Formats: sequence, C-alpha cells, structure tokens
Amino acid sequence: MRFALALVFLAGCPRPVCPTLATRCDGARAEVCAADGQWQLVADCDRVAMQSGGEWACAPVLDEGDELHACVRGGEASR
Amino acid sequence: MNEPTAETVRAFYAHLCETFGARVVPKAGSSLMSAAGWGLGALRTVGLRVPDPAAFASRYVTTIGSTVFVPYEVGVESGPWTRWVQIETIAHECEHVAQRRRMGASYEVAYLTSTRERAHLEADAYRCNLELHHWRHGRVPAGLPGVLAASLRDYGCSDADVAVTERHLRASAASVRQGAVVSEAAYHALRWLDAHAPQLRAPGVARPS
Repeated sequence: MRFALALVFLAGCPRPVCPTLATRCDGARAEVCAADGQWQLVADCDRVAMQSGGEWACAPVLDEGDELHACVRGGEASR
Repeated sequence: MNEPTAETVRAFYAHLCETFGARVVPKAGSSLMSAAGWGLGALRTVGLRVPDPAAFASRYVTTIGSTVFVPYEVGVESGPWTRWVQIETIAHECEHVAQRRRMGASYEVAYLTSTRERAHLEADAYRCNLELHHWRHGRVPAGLPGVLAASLRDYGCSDADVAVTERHLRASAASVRQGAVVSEAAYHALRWLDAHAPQLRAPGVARPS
C-alpha cells in the first residue's frame, strides 16, 4: 500500500527538468518549459509543413532581441 | 478595408460547426450558463479571480463539450463583438472542440484541475486568433501575444502560467508571420475564408496550401 501511495505521489509531482520559460527544439518539435518545469509542445513542425506547404523545421529565432525556438520555413533561423 | 457581411459570418459559422461537430447556442436564456454564472459569483466570494456573473454573461464565450455558448447573435455586431471578432471567436472555440475530440474525457479533467494544462490548451486556441489576425491584417503586432496571454489571469492561471503562455504565443507568432498554419481550426477556417471571402485577406498574405 505504501509503495502504491508513493507511486501516486511521485506520479503527481514530476521532478522539474527544465527552467521555466526556456525554449528548445526537440527534433521537429518546438517546445517551451512550463511553470512546473516540464517541456510543453508549442508546435510540431512536421504538422505545420503538412498544413502550410513547403518545408518547415524547428530553429532558433530572435524575437524582440530574445531567442526563442519556433517552426520556421526552410528551417532557417531569422536573425 | 472590406468588412465581413452578416451572411459571410453565418456561413462561416455553419461551415466550422459542421466540420467540428459543434453547435452554437445563445448564452442568454441558457439555464446552464445561468448556473455557471452563479457558480462563478460564489467562487468570487471566496477570493478566486474569476469573471463576475455580468461579465461572464456578456464578455465571454463558453464552450462545454461541443456546444458553444455565445453572448451575441451570430452575424450581428454588438459592442466589442464585431463580425470579424465573431469569426476569430468561433475558430478559437472550435480549436477547443478539436482538443476535446483528441483528448477525450481527460480534456475536462486537465482544463478544470490544472492551471498549467488550462494555460496550454488556451495558448493553442489563442494561436488560432494569431493565425486569423495575420490572414486578415498581414501582421501580428508584437504586443498581441502578451495581451492574449494576460487574459488568462481571469481563468485562475498564475503569473508563471501567463508568462509561459506569452512565450508560447510569441514563438507561434514567429511561425505565423512566415505563413505557418499550425492550428487545426485555423487550417479549416482559412481554407474556407480563402475560398468564400478572399476580399477579407490582407494583400500579400499567401493562400494556405
């Protein structure tokens, strides 16, 4: 019983793995680090390519002087 | 700038509702919405930051399951509910209907029990607003992601959730400015608008594939 409760507790409180507000590319996925320290999907660039046409890939972009990761056409960073 | 007609808005609503299996119901006169407004009033008395009943009835669209409760008559301009705002609104709400279809019953659990999940679901739906705004105006103002994200404070989300949502929407805006169509509802919305109301599209905005 204690083991089961411990599992529930651990499952309910995942250990933070990233600093909140960080962004990254995980393959074709653009992700942002959520308030609980877990990576969260912003956009799947393969899906963007299917819906938008052309080639899209995740890459760093500059937005107001701040580096973010996003799906960009042709996979080229806009710096 | 061309403005959408009432007929265009009604036809757009009919198309998206058919595509997503949604239905639109007036908020006024709905006993369910009256009960929800009463519940929000009760939550405010214990200090939760949620809309007051009057604002909930007039300034918020609410989707439960596949039913979209609206505080306006579709196609009729009323206060802040211009015809274009009505177009953006139903795309946003249909993204919620699509989220529920993809997630099943876990959608309601996630939305109601986790501010992190609620913020994420709303961020994906607000992306529809960015995508339609870009199609209509040819740009996404730098401040728009922040304005949209800030509205989540009225949904009980924390400052950290709002900051993450703004970052999500800023990254999305960078893609949308390059012509990305990310959201399922925006994809269907823009295809219909391009086919039936291309005069509403900003000059220079590429047609979706």
